[in-house]
This record gives sequence, structure tokens and C-alpha cells, in this order.
Amino acid sequence: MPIEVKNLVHVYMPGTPFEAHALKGVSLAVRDGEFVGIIGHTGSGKSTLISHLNGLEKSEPGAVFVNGMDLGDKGADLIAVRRAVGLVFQYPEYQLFEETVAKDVAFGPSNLKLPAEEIERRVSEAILRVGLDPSVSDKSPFELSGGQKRRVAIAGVLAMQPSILILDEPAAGLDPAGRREMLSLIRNIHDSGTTVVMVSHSMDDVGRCCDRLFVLNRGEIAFSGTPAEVFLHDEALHGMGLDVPECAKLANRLRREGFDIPEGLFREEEVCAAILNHLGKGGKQPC
Amino acid sequence: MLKGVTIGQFFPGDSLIHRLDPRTKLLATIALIAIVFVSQGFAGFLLIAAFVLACCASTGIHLKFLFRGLKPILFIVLFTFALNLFFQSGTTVLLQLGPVKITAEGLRMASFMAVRLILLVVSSQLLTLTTSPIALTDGLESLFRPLEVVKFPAHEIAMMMSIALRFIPTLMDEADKIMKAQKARGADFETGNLLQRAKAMVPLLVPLFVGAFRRAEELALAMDARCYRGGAGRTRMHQLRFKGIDALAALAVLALLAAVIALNAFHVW
Amino acid sequence: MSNPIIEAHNVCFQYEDAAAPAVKDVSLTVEAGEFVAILGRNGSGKSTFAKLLNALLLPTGGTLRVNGLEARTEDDCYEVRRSCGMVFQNPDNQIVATIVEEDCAFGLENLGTPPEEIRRRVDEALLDVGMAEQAGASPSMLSGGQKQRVAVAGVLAMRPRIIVFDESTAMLDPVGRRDVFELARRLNREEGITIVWITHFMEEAALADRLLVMDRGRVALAGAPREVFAQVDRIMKLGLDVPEMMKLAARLRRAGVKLPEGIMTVDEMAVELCRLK
Repeated sequence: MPIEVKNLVHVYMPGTPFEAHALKGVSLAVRDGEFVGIIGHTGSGKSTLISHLNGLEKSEPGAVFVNGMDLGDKGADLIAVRRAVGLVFQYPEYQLFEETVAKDVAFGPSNLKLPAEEIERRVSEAILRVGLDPSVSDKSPFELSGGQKRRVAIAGVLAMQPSILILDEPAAGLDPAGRREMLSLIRNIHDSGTTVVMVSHSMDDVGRCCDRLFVLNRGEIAFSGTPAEVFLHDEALHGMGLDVPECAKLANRLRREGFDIPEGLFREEEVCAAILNHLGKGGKQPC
Repeated sequence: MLKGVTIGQFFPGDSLIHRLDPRTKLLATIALIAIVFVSQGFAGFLLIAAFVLACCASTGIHLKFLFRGLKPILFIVLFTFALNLFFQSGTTVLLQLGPVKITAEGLRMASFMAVRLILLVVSSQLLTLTTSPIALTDGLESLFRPLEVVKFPAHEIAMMMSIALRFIPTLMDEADKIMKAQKARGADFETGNLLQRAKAMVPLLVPLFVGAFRRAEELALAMDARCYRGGAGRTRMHQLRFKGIDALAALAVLALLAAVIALNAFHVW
Repeated sequence: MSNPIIEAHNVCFQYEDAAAPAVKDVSLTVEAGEFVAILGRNGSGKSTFAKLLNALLLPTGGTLRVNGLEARTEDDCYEVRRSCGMVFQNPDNQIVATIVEEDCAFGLENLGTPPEEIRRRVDEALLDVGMAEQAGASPSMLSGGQKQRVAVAGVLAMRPRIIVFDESTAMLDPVGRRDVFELARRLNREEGITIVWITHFMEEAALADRLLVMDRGRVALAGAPREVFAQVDRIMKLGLDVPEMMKLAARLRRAGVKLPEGIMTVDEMAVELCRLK
């Protein structure tokens, strides 16, 4: 099990008037090669949760395990953890600092004290992997467009070759085409064998990509399961400030109106086929 | 999570001193500092200390906060004390150890200087404990406004101060985020010698500065969009107005000054 | 009966060091009281156009009248900025003061409004955006959506006739986004303020009176959202998106289901499908 979280509790500023429970006993597991989505609105505790998965927040012994390592253990090898878990924060383009793209991408691998040729190899590979032209390597990251900068930042994490990649709102602030490209980039990374955990508040995005979802609400896991299972709870999710994809909403609504539509549909093509089926047009024409 | 932290040492409250006009408090503090210098003896100091402690007690702020400001200057106080103790010439020798002698005059002078320093810090501490940074800025702007005739940029300085105050929490938050992001990329901020640690700060400081400049540009645009054009012709929603309690405070400080001068005149202590 | 409040004739703008103009030959009219959405990819010129409306930039070609005034002198610029307020993208970078009500007063203070009048208008504006309770709070304690509401109040206090929202919901979570968007719609409906809503969320654009799609500095498409979004392929090609229900409707229609044009919301779709059942 690459990631295992058992009853994780996190309290901010304990013992002060600002004391706040960010996480109140969260348990979850991520399996090898999975694409997992964590959804929740601002303040649901999702950012705190992913900080724990990388050892950036200290947890109690026995609460967070990465590839079998207990991150709460005093002797936990944090470099090994950070090598295993790549963490891409929200708006990661704001962490770029080097003179050139290549140097910035090399920051992670050189912190791992790898040999120079290995670093160079990884840097050019990572730049290609995020779909950037190799010619950007010698440019200053500050000259690039917003979307390109974000790709550089992701390349910087990929160059550490983590077996698990965690991304916090990777598509935030991008326009629709940028969003689609970013999601397909992440899907490609997943398809090449990396376990991916994506934090988002867009149900559309997680529905499109993820095998399994965890819905976080006020520091607790409210729902978990496949997107189809989670989207059945459209009204409860709405109450948590989250929206299910429009097509899932329509399917749930039509089912209540007496349409014969199976549970758990949320993709446009599936819902279309189900509607046609119900209207007696299924099979006549390809949907 | 630096969001909840208050900036500076301001303790919100609703005491008489809290409600004083910031200009009154600024001027009173300056007067208090002057009075500390005027005082020639310990009786004067005792009176000033009683005054400051009484003020502090009336605000409901715990006395320990008054003395917390002493910590950074403790060394200077001790140094001043030692310097005066050993090098003040005098006739009444209290203790002699080889070439080092401690005289009564030296002891008196040393104590005098140390107490004076402590009083200076504690009196100004009272100001920062009871006045919000924004009120302080407003007060300073208003006090320096007459100097605008001689092209002193009172408004600009006050505006810069208040924007700095506004952005301190934002930038602290941002520093925290960048630090985490770089740590996730294996950066090490905690170990190594001084040079290594200084170098390790680059990945934090560069993005922080780039971010600060980006914010500054956007803020300037947002200020333009709301018709900002400097201090000329500008009004304020909160008008600073001297009230009855301000006169009262002025009288109290004047009374203190008179008392200290009287004590000086009678050479008490 | 037309009552134009924004009139643009062949407006062009080119940044000094840029190779191509950011805004090219834009001609359009916005009626007083309209809610107009502008959709476009990053770099399509929509933000530049917003800054032209607010006289933060002046056209390098063509004429632009906002509230009947063409900004030529510096004083004109301030007059335009007063009548056409602007709410920016990043909630953190447009709040000037350390206290909510002080920030709300900033614009009026700049205009030299008498203190009592500022007090009255600030209280009104904060009440209007639902932030009266936080009047004394520090902005750093607020959520993104709340910060944007404070920014709206700051603009509102200046009594503008137009408010331009330049991607003001891009950095917010769904709750904050809904909040700010609903606020803009209410100000439009109840107070008759003309809204120019720049976004790349098509769900928001779908609810506008009129929709303009910008591409490479030009207005590529314009019309009622239903008409514009009906051109699904064209919109997708411009790097944008159309509401899910429009895509689904197009798909169902291709499969032979007789659906009327212009279905955009889940409600509309459900009603139409129930009719066919």
C-alpha cells in the first residue's frame, strides 16, 4: 500500500484561542497505480492532509504510512519520503526561483544528491514529459506564460521521479483549454505508472480522471468510493458547497422523475445513451 | 498558520488610554521620555514609574507585557550599569579589588542610568501596547502633516506604512507556502553552516520577492482604479479629534512634569 | 429605446513593447443596466479591454466612451474610474487597508468626500454586500469570497454606474464563486448597475444578458448566451467550453431526439425530456 492514513488528527495552534481541528480522524488508503481524487471546499482540511502525506506536517506515530514507512516515527527518513512522494502545491508557478528552467527543474534532483549526468538526464526527460519544448530549458522561467510556468513547476517535482504524485488544484486559474490540457497531462503521468492523488474542488475534473474519490468535509471524510458512487449524493454534496457534474445531476433528477436510468452515470455519453434507451431510441442510432 | 497572529504588540481594549487620540499618546510618550531625562534623582524616577504602572494597570493589560520589551535591550542595560559602576570616579570607596574599585558615586550613577533606560523603554512600550499600528500611522501622518509645506511626504510615508502592515500577514503566509513547496522538493532550511543556510534561503527569498513585486504592481493598479492620486485633496473617514480625555491626559503628563521638576529643585535623592 | 453606457468604436490597444496589439478594432455598445459577460482564453485581450473601460489604459486607436465621457485628460480618467468601478482577480492584491471598513472608504477618501458622507456610504455598501458584521475585521482573516465582497463594497461606495469584474471569481472556491457572482447579479437587477463580467467559467457566462467571446484581441462571437453557445464546435475551437447540457442536447439531437434549441441548464433539460417521456 503506497499510502495509508489511519485515524489522522491535526490540531492547529493547540492551547491557544486560535485552536482549530483541521483533521478529525481521517483514514484512507491509496493503492498502487491508482488515480485518487480528494475533494472538499476551502477549509475542509485537504491541504493539511496532503502536507502530512509528504512529512511536511508532523503526525503521531502510527497515523501516516508511505510505502510502509511510518512518518510519525522520529527516525523517519524524510528524504526517502520526499523522493517517494512528489507534492505539487496550488499555484506551483510561484515557487520558481532559478535563472533558467533547466536549473529550476534540477533543484529537486540535486537536493537528492544525484550524480550530475543523472540530474541532466532527468531534467530533460521531465521537461519533455510535461509537454514543454526542450528549447525552453535555457530560458528564464519568469519569461514564460502562466500555463508554461506551471508545467515547469510540475517538471521540477517529476524530476525527483516520485512513485506517488500529489497535486493540489493543478488546474486552478487556467482557462478551459488550459484546464483540459493540464488534466490530460496528469492522466498521461498516471498512465505511465505513477500513482496520482489529485486535490480539487471541481467534481467535473475528478469525475473525468479519478478511479476513487474521498470527499472531505470539516476535517472528516464524508463520502468515499468511485465517482459514480459519490455522485449519487448530489444533494448532500451541494450542502457541503460542492457540485456534482451537470450530467450526474440530470441523471439523478430524471431517475426521480421516473426515468429508467441506472444509478451511477455521470459521463455525458453514458447519460445520453441511458436517455436514448429510455426513450426507446437506444440501439437505433449510435450515441 | 500565521493568520491568527497579531502584528506588533497591540492589545485591543476599551480603556481610557486605548480611547485616547493617537496623537495625544504619541505626544505624551515624547513628553514622558523628556520627563525621564529631566529627572535628576530616584524620587523622580519612582514617581514616573508609579505613573506608568498606574497607566498600565488602568488598561487591563498584564504588567509583564510592559517589561517584555526589555528583553532585547537587557544587555545594553547591564552593559551601561557595569560601565558606570566600574569607571565612574568617586571618593567613597565601597569595595576595592586590585585596580578595580567600586564607589558609592559609581553605584549611584550606574543605577541611575540603568533605571533611566528601563523607564524609557517601558514608557514607549505603553504606547505600542495600547495603540493599533493603523492608529499610530494615522497619528503620525496627522502630526507630520504641517511639514508637508516643506515637501515632507507625510501622507506617502503613512500610506507606505499602512500598506506594509496590510501585507505582512499575506507575505508571511506566502513565505510559509513557498517554504513548504521547496521542502517538498528536498530543500533543507535547517542544517548546515551559516553560509549553507544563507544559500538555502535563495529558493525562498527569490519567489517571495518576485511575488511581492507582482502584488505591488497589482495593488498599484487597484489603487489607481479607485482614483488614488496621492494625499492632495484626500479626506479621511476617521477624523482624529481631540476630546475631553485628551486634555485630561495632557494635564496628567504636565502635572508629572511639574512634580519631577519640583523634586529636582528640592534635591530629593 | 437605447441608452448606451459604453460605446466602443474600433478600439485598439497595443502595449509599448508588444509585437501585436492586445485589443484590435473592438466595436460594441453596452446598454445601461445590461449584464454583459466577456469570455475568452488567457491572453485573448479581455483583461486589457477591462482596463480600457476603467481608463487604467487609454486606447491607442479608436474611440471609447464610458458613461458618455471619453477619457482624454487626467481629470477625465478619474471621472471615468469613479463611474466605472473595477474588481480584480486576486482578492489579496486589491485590498489596501488593514481594516475592512477602512478599505471600503479608500475610494471615497481619494475623491475627497466629506467624512460623514463616507461613513454613511461605507456602512451602506458593507450592508449591501453582506459584510457589515466584519466591518472592523482585518482582511487577512477573511475568506477569498469575503475579500472579493469587500472589494465590491469599496467600489459600490463610490456609486458607480458600471462595475467591471475582471476574472474576479477565478481564484475562489465554488462557494465563494457563487457568492460573488450572485452579488453581481443582484446589484444588476436591483440597483440597475451595468455589469461587465469577464470570466472563463461558461456557467457564469451562460446567465448573462449578452455574451461576447474574445479571441486574439477581437470580438469573435457576440449575442445572447444561448445563441453563442449553440455554436459548440466554434467555441471549443476557441479554447473555451460550453455548458454540459448544451453538449448533451447536441448529442441527443444528433441521435434523433427532438429537442428545442437553447437548452442550457439541468432544469430546462429535465423539463424537455419529461415532456418526451
